Amino acid sequence: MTLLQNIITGISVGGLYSLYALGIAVVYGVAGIINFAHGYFIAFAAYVLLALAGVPVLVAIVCALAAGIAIAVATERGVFRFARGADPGTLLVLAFAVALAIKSLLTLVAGSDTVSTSFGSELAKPLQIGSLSIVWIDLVTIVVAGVMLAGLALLLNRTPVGVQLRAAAEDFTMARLVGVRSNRVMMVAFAVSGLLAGAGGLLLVARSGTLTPTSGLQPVLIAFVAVVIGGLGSLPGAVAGGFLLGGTTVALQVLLPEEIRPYRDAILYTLVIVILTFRPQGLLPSANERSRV
Amino acid sequence: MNTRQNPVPSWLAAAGPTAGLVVPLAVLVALLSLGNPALSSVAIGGLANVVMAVGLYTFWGISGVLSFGHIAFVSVGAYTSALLTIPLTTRAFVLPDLPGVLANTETSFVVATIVAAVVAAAFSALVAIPMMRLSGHAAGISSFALLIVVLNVTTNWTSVTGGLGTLTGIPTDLTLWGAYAWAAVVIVVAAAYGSSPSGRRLRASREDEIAAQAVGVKVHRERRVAFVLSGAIMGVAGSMYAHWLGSFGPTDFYMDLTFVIVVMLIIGGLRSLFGAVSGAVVVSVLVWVLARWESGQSVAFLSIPLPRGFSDLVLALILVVILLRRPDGLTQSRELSWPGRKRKTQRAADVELVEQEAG
Repeated sequence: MTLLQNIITGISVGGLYSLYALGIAVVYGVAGIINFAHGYFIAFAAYVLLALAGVPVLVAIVCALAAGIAIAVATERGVFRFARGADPGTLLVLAFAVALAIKSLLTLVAGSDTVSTSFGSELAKPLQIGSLSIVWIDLVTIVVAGVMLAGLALLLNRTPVGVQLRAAAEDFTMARLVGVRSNRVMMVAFAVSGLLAGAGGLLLVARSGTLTPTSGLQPVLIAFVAVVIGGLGSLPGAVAGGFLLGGTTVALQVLLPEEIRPYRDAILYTLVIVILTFRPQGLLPSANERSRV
Repeated sequence: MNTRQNPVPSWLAAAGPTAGLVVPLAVLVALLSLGNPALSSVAIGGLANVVMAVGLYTFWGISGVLSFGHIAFVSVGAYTSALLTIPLTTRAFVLPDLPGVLANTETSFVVATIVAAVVAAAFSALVAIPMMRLSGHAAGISSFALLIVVLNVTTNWTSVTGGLGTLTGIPTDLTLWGAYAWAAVVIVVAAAYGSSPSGRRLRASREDEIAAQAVGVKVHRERRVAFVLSGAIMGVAGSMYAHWLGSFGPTDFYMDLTFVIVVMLIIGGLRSLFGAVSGAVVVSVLVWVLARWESGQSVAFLSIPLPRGFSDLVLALILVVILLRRPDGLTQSRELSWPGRKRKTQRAADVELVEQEAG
């Protein structure tokens, strides 16, 4: 029974990590930016949720998701649009700069102290099924991640804009030549990543109950690792990387002996470096990411 | 161009620009040393920043492989230096569970700094084995991973590092001229490496990795050399940092410091030593001025009240503008050159150097 319980926790954490990773992967696919600022989109959406403490929960949730989309689209219009075609290193440092800008804005407005909230506190209770005890938030996380993944799959495979998005991710120049409007597709990619960031922010706050301007750092580092392990530019790879990282985190937490458990992250990230050494293109690389020489 | 007809040998060609960095820096330090002790302290921190920016340049600037993980070596250097210099009586109190050798060895700052450089270099040589095989995004991610691993270990290895709290009791015996001496040594070392055959081969691989491989450059090996050297420089910076503040904690060597050093390097000019040093000086001054205004003090009789956190926002916006408008930094990634010689872009100079190499 504890095994089943741990598997459910693993799926829940993996689902959350997949949401983080997909937000990075969608933007990377189209724009070629490893968007370090994504973590601060997450933090921004979470702060909007907390700022709306008095209003009905559903309204606050919708506003937080909208805020995630708004900040993502705003950075595209305000910054990244002017750097199209720059080399990958410059884009990564640029995203780093945008991340710091959002973080310092949050610090200016909300202060650098930890803020606590009761949002999601009722989800911390366990659900008892026979001898199996599952925390509600784990179930909610799994459902939200499932809905978002399914929705994204539908968007990409069944709608014209989704097809354009995939075409642009495959070959941006070619897509433009056959009539895909680059500004529009770029905006859609950022909007989708902003929505994913909003959902991730809600789950983050509901799980931890606290928030600081640096709360976005951990998620974005996790997302980076998941995306690169899965294979940059591949959306299924990002999901697989998220689940692999989440599952490994939970497994290490459960299996490591008590005295080395604090070093879980050190072990995890050493594994990351080792995996990258043997598979620098990730586990499921997309076809157009392979080196041609 | 034929090497035999070139009247200026490579080491001398590097000596001019190096003197052009070390001498003005000495003048700046001399001026600052006339000010009050608080100003000297700020200047010592600025010189530690110069060392970090030069250390990051030695790898990132010359190889073109980005790294967000170098602050990990600063952490290793700072802890090494602290463990060697905290007075034994204090040490028994702040770190009661230290293993034997570490509990009983006390050295001077200079010895501790050299040991810090050696330990940081050894550590970077170890992590270079897997990491230097990577390039592009995988290199960037693995450098983040390194930073996280070191933070996790320094936070939890309580018997040696004192854990998450602040490690105190380090003598604050780093003088302004002492800090300047280390900065000058590091600049000379970085310049010598940059103009050495190994440094030039690495720079060639930065401009075109495949072409460099084709003419016989062992790219991974050259990257390892630069990585270990820059690790050692970061170790020196860590020791300086420890003896500047006298106390620090694991999270001092994480994203915030990484960000500041990256900003310095990019604003100055990523691909030149001149850029690294001037970027470190400019950003250090800017951060100091903004910090004073944030805390309600005046600079040159001018006081602008700013909310806390404002300086980070300014830095971020400057970085965005530089990246969009002037991606080679304020110096355009040029080196200083002999007066009278026509200034040329770093890229043209590199092409010429590679041609010289080829004979």
